[in-house]
Amino acid sequence: MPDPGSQPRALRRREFVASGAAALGALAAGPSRAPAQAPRRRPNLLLILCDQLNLDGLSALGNPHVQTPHLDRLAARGTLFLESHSTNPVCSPARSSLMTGRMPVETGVVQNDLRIRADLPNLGEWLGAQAGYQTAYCGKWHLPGGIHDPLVKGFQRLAGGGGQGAHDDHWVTQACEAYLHERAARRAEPFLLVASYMQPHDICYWMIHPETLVSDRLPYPQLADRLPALPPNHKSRPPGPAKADKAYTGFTTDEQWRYYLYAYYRMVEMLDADVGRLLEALDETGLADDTIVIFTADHGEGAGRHGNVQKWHPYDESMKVPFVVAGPGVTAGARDATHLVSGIDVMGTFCDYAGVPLPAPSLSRSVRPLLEGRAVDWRDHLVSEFQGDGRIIRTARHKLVTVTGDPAVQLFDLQADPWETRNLADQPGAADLIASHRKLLDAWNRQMDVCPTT
Amino acid sequence: MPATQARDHFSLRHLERALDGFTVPTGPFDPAGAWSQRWELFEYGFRLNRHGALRLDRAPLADGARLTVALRKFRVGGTLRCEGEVECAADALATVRRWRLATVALDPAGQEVPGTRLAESGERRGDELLIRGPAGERRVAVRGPVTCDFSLFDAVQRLPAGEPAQGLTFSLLDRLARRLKPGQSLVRGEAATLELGGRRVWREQATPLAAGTVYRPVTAIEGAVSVNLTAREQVGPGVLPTTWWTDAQGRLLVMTAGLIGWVANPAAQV
Repeated sequence: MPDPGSQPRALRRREFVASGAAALGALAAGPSRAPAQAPRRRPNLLLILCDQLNLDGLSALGNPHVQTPHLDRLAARGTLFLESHSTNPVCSPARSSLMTGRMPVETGVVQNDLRIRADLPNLGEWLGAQAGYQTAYCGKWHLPGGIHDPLVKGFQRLAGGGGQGAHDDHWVTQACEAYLHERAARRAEPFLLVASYMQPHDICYWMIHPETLVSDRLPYPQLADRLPALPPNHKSRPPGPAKADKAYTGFTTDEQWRYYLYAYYRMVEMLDADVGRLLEALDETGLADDTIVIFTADHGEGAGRHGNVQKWHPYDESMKVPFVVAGPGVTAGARDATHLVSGIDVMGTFCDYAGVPLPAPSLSRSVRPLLEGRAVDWRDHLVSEFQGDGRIIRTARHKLVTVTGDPAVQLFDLQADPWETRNLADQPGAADLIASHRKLLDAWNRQMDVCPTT
Repeated sequence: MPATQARDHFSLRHLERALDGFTVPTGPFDPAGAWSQRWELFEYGFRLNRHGALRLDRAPLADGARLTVALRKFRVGGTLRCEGEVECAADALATVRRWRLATVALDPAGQEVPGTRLAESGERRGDELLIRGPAGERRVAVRGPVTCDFSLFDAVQRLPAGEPAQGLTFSLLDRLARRLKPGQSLVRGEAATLELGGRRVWREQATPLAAGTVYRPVTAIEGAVSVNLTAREQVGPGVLPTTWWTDAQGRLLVMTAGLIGWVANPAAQV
């Protein structure tokens, strides 16, 4: 927590990154510590998934308004990717990608509450059938029917979770902890466990019920000197496609925004506590030595940037999420600010560790070579989707936002303008950049096995 | 003090429906004595729903108290049951001395799901918590008072109305006494007279206008009684601001934190 006596200050995105500058030699500069010995047999796989956590939500990245010691510890034990992007900043589409390694336009889940196309195996089905993994899932699924839907294949379903995080996340932890103890006693087949937490998604309800959850005045006056500062791009509304321009107008005062941020970060800390207990169980059972852990989120959170709350938006606060990998053979203490990573890469990475191919050719990549400090050709651009026909093309330096049928685009130089405040689309020289990014998008689209129903 | 309704208080607004039909407790109550109380758990998602219940039985000891815990949380796909005991001091925060809690998942038919039973016990030893779980012992360094989520239900009922306004600071063993969250504070909040109990009815409200009278339906509570309440507010890392509402005799009637709320209900099924 920030010192209650200190004045809140604005966060600068550069600070987040610079805070890890020493380690930020990243993988391009070589491992910061020699990788531990690689596992000999198929490792266990643990995917810890949370909901609506933006990259800046970790105290390890310098955010003074939140304390996430357990997530920080996980990041210190592994590699944290700083250019990790959601495939779509909404729950169901992003989760369909995490579970299949395919983009939402391929899974058919281009909005909430659609089913994954039936001919795409999910992570559990694939690793169970192809590599003999025991597969279990606990918590939020957010595709129709939830994880207990009989149509969901491939996972043993652990009882727990499914409600709001404040109420249910500890249940996910306990169910997963019991599962780990049971697996530790057997030590036979490797397992894949998905621990899917709801937090910090509870913040969504602040917008659904502003009449009850938002107050005209600070409801707890003792918090007056503990409220986070507003981000520097809070009032920035760069012109662009109509779908990118949906500021939240429900708050009338800065104090309301800041209390919203205060509540959000407490939810992040609740998540951190649960993840900490799960990681302790992994240590206590001795399973940590042969378990690859991936921690990530489905999408980020507006957090007052560009006047936004929730997600949906093409800005980095919605798109960028933590992506941490830890376990045997993984370079510890590294922060990779170079490689563009996506939610689709969970499938590729786990398939790589399990020693099986992807279910079918796709753009999913394994980050394992990056984790082990091996040279590898990596993608130089990445596409994400938003609000149906919106697309975001990321390259090392720039980002182009387009929406089919809308002539307006957004072009950001993320090196010069990391808070995305200046749309360069009308600037001299932008036309070439826009054209080159459109060309990349066209090539990406040609590789999509588009779901017939989308 | 003018009578108010739940909607007039930020921490109670989202629980307004949960307080419909609330049974206002009557009769003597000694928060420092032996008692058995139940609260019902509400969750405010798209709608306000019931999702569980908690029963605490307090037995005074020579220099503290033993709380017997029975908790159920339910959800599609199953139920979480937690049972055990917390032994705590008779101090202001009911600081924990030792505890043992076991949780298990039940399937929709109420049968125990194999492999889901977890038992943990612990005790305070000086500047450490010694915690015993299925994988053995672990030690957690602590400083200052440590209380837990269950013992706070006891503590807030025994706090005198005139406790220091600057409040109490402590570490919280949260999430069924499993996660330590230092840096908590509990301060006295507002005092209020609240209309509680009764039933919600529709009434017609007449508004005279120049062109005639407009009638519109409004809800009102009939048969409510006025109850004097004191709020205590807990803030700190890892918890949403929490408000504990107790009546003049100290009974905890409502606790709220973000989307959840516990509402006293002697008929709650545990």
